Amino acid sequence: MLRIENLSLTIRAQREEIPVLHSVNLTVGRGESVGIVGESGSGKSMTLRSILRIEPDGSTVTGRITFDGTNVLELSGEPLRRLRSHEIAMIAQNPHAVLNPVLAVGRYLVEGMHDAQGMPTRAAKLRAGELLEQVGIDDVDRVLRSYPHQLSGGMLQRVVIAGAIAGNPKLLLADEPTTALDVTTQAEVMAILDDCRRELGMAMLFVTHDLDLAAAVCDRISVMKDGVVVEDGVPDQLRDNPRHPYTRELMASRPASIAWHGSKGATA
Amino acid sequence: MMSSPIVVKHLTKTFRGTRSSGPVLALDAVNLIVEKGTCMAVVGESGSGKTTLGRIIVGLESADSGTVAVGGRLVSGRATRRERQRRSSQIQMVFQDPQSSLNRRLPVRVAIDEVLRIHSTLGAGPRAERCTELFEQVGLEARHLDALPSELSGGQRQRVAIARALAASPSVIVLDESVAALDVTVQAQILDLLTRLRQEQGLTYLFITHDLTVVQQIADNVVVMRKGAIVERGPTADVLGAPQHPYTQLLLECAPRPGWKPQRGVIRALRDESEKL
Amino acid sequence: MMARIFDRMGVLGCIAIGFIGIVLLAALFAPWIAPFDPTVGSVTQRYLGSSAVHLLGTDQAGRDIFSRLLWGARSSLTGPIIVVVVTAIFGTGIALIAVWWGGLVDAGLSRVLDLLFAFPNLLLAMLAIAVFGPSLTTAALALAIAYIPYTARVIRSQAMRERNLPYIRSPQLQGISGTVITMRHLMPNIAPLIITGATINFGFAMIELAALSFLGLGVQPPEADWGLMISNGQQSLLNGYPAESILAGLCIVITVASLGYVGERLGGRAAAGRKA
Repeated sequence: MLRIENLSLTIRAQREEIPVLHSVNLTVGRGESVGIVGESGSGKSMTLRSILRIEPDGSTVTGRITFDGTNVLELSGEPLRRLRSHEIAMIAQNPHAVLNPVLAVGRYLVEGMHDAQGMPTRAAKLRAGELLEQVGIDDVDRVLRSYPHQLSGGMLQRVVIAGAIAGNPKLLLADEPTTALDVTTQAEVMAILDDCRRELGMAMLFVTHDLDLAAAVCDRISVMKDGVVVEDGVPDQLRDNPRHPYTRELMASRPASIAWHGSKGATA
Repeated sequence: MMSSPIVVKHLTKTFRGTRSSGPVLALDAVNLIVEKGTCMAVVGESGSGKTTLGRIIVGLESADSGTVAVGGRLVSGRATRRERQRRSSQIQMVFQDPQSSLNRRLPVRVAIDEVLRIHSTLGAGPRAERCTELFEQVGLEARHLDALPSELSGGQRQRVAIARALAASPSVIVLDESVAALDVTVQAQILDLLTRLRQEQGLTYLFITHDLTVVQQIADNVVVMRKGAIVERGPTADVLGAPQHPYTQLLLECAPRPGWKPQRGVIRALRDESEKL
Repeated sequence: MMARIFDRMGVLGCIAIGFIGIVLLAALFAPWIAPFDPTVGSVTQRYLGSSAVHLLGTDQAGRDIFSRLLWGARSSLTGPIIVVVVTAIFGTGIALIAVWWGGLVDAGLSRVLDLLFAFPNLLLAMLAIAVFGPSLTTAALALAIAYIPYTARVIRSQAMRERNLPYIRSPQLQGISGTVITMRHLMPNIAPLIITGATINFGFAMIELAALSFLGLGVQPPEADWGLMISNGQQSLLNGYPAESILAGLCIVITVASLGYVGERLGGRAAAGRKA
């Protein structure tokens, strides 16, 4: 469904050309979950941004990104807008940057559906409630009326996820959606994200620096370093039999797993 | 008998908070003893009070009640400059963000040099030598001394911050999320460095972190904090291997690890159980 | 170097810097460039048009307008320089004291500044002039006092943010004195803001000082000053000789606009604590 071929990207900054991506190849099948794992500066986020054509100003993109057969790099205007509103959704690291601080989050959801999908406001309001239930929020009415500063980071990220899945996109781009959250909240949000994705049959491209986190929710993983995909494979293979030295280094940086095999609750 | 480097008794701190949240109890009668030459990890999520604990111990914040003794001497709430100087020869702090922990307009040498100036009677020549020595100890080269922070990587900047802490020859270092902003491969290098320095110089660490894998890599003992109180404490292997408190179990359950799948039901069950206590 | 300035300023910015340079040169070298004495005229030479002798003609007192413009650049720049320097020193000083001591000192200083805010700049200046008599120095100092709260407020908020960063906290923990930390660490990091603010304040000061001179409360005749020239030219304007007022006005507009643009590129009006 999504096919990235030979994607290269350079950013022009202060009369210098800085190469960010070197012929990146990546595919995401329908309903498939693919992870991109890498450290800061590896180009993982930039790959994601190129798909929605939101790379920084003054960057040069070469290669092909095809989504359902159309080359995204050639799109502009209405078709590009349609791609962004109907086909591909994105969630980012910091939900505060996405949500307008002076609007109640209910309005964010309703307006999103009204403007992007042309849904009537009344229907959108009902749908907003359903969506919040879907992302595991109990007191839906209170949350809909709340302003971003009144909610915790985990709650806000769920709202953003609700907004992202509102239009039943075929592909969800997730850029370190849990990095700013506490561990327990991260686990909860990841579980919710994974459940939603499966229920809706949505494909996901998940960017993170945490190999174990990616392994938990992804069918395949690409490891990136310095703008190059150094290795890709299924999580088990990457973990048990990493071929590239960098993947090995990544694995070695985390200690052998904590000797914890689940609580009473986990086994129940 | 030598007293323990850090003894915290019944430490309580309340923040006024916002109008909607009301007062926030950051520390609720916390007791803590860190033995010489060991590394104690303080684990918790945001709002657990772990950072406040560290800030009170080094003197950036004052407690409402309770006492803190560093190196056997009680330290008062609001420290004067002289008191800070004395305390800083005992205890040093390394902050989380290597980006903002160094003055971006001055070569990093200045940060080290000004500490040496306070804590030693060395002249300019010997101080420069000591700077080079400290840099070598933390795995940097002498040429890095004249770099601006922006010319160094995150890991290198954190090494400079560690060198600055060592410059005062303290016996205790408080590390406040000191590797949280770094990439995993760099994290591992810095943790190795910290462990080596501790063994070589007999340092005592109080390591504040949210990351259980970091705890496992560096700490001898660990306390788990939740909402201003310590809910579990003990040797790292025991606490991480056989956690007793449901909150510790929750933290462990949520930590990504090979073969892990986050499950809403499990998380919720553990959370409810720890809320009840 | 040139390329960096160009990157930062753009085409318009470079033109603006060029204008400012010309004005500065004129002010510096007026005694040597000016073909005539700016204060001495002759009744027989009144209202001459542009010629090879009098490049821009003469005014109602028969003085060479070109020479008066060159000399006028001097007082028109000295005034704002006094304002800007005094404002920067005191504004920054107050801000840093408020930030470093915090608590009651901060609260007290903030209230005093609020009080100063309540007075319109020109009113404050006219009040001072009424007490100390009209002169460029009085006008400039009075304006400086009026500007200090703007500068202090902006620098305070920036310094407050910086103060809580670890690079300030860490030396504080070492027991290094507040003065040393402020001068060595805090100052260099807020310096760009101070400079940008000064650039913008310069433009405002120039206009307001010209207004005071126009009202006869600043530079005193027969000295040459752009604001004064506009006011002198009023009569000529009615007599059908608009050159003096228009040229002096143009000088003010171009200089202020250039400075404003450069300041905008450097960091914007926000740095001067002004809305628009």
